[in-house]
Amino acid sequence: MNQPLIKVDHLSKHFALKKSGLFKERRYVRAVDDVSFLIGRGESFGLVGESGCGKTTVGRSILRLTEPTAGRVEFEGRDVTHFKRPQLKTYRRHAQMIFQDPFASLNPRMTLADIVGEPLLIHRIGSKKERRRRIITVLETVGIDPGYMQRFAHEFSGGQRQRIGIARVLTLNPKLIVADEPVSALDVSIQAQIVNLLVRLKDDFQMSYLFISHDLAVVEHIADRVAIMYLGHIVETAPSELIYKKPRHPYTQALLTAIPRPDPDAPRQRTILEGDLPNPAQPPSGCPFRTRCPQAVDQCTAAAPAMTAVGPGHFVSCHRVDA
Amino acid sequence: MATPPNRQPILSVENLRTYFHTPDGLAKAVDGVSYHVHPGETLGVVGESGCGKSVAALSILRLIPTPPGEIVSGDIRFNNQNLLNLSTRRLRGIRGRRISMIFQEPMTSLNPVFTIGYQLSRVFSLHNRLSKKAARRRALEMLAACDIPSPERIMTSFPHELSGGMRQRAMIAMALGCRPDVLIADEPTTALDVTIQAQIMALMLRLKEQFGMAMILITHDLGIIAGSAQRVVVMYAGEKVEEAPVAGLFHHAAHPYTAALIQSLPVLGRRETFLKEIKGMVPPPHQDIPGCKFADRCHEAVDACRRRRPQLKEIEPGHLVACIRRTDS
Repeated sequence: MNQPLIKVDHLSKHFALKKSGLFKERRYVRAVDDVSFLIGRGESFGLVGESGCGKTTVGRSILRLTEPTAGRVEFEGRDVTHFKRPQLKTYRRHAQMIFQDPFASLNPRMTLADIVGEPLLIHRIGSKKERRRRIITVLETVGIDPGYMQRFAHEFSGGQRQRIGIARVLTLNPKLIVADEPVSALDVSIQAQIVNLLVRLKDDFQMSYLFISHDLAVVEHIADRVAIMYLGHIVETAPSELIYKKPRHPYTQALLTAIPRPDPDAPRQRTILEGDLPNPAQPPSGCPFRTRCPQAVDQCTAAAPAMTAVGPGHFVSCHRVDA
Repeated sequence: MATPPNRQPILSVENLRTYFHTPDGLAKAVDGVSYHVHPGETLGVVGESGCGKSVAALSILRLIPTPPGEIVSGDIRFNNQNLLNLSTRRLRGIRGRRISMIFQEPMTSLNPVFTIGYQLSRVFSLHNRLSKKAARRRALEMLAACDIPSPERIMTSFPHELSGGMRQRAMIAMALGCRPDVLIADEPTTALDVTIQAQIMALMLRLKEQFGMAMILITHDLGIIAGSAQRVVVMYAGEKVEEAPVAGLFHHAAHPYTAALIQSLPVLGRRETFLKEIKGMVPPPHQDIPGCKFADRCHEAVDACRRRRPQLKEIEPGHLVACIRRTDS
């Protein structure tokens, strides 16, 4: 990998909680705590974790939809976190987002042509005629009949709406797409259609993805590399073939065994994690996972583990894993 | 795995039709569905959103809002009585007591202004005529049975103070407190994270064994079905398209829809360039389709499929399929 497209460097985002009393100290939820990773050009990077682990906040911070508390995000070598408005606008031409809920992310009062054409209007690209042509092209690319251009979002099904959301992003020909749970609101049969569309588009247009999801099976399918997040931290990063074959972090291992397999002969769940996610406002000392970890020892309470390499491109943050 | 033929089903749904009168026309949400469950058995009902799996389950306990909904015809047989003909009063003695139900989103099923303890005890005192004290004791017992840590503290908590997993445990405690004969679980783990989902499924299966209940497990997740059901009913657009023992369904799926659904799943550790997709989408529920409702998405469809509705036929013992490409040759 020469220059990466995106470099996330010690990114943190802390949300302030309401003070519980005038003289009480203000507390913070560390939604993202010291997260670093790279996304190469044309690479698809999967970010996996359960609800509340901070994966969405990472995605939003990269696009500066939320302002990070600390750390840097670099896009093609330039620090995004200090971009002023005009630079930010140009940046967002190249970095776009697809949202989870296709019912909430499309304006019900706009026609399909307006929705898909809006990015072009915002960035003042092309004449009216050129824009129309572009809208038709992207609609055809995602498999929506351009004859529906004057229809409204509610006239489409969930899968079609997600296609429209993808079309809207494609009009600008971005280099990076942050896709936040793009298929989790969809039915299984439609999910495969959208996943395939995303795989095809990435290859056709040489885009990079930050693919955020709770579903390891989907991520393994679409991502080249995967990072597993837990309570604001990345606990393991690996090429996606390795994460399934040789998961090293106990959380990744538990996550993999917890996924129900569509196979009645599959061995039944071996390790079921006990307990709930700790309160992110009062994270455990040391390793964030130690309260639920079947392998935790005293050392895990005392100090937070550092990221160590266990193989090519494979990093784990766990005291119990030997390099 | 095969159920002995002489065993009577504890609950059976026969030829159920539940329609909704909508501004777009008559929506046949459930259109002639039959299934049954034996004592101690887990029946999986699987299908995508809008296939009628939840409406069928709600019809069992007559929880369909009328209007716009209407149970047009059918029989719901439980203990030699037809629940559809029962008086509301008698039905109330069955709802929540002999047949219990848990839903996808525990937050909307629990009342936000009462404590967990109050809500649980109230159910038990109403149904089992227990004294306040005894009902409270039962509530504590049930919370503990559902692996809730420090049940005394949870008793005085409000639903919003609990995590999603804990809320679902509280719901299970409430549903099982009267020792029902049948538990209907409608997407019980869909709103939960995978690690919590695994905990809840393990808990439900353990309690089902312990209490010897029958369970109707409704889900869109074939993975959950594979791991917990003995028999499976596959629904599509308001109809049952296939029924089979779980191994038969996954190894020899007969209906093209079932087969395509299983193949469209991304499987861990088996990465392919493209997933097998099912083209198109489910027809709208108010559209009148004379033939097979899956024909337009089916790669095996022939002209005859569009002419008349395929009938369910048994192709193996206990394995039924509604597809003329499989049954008429």
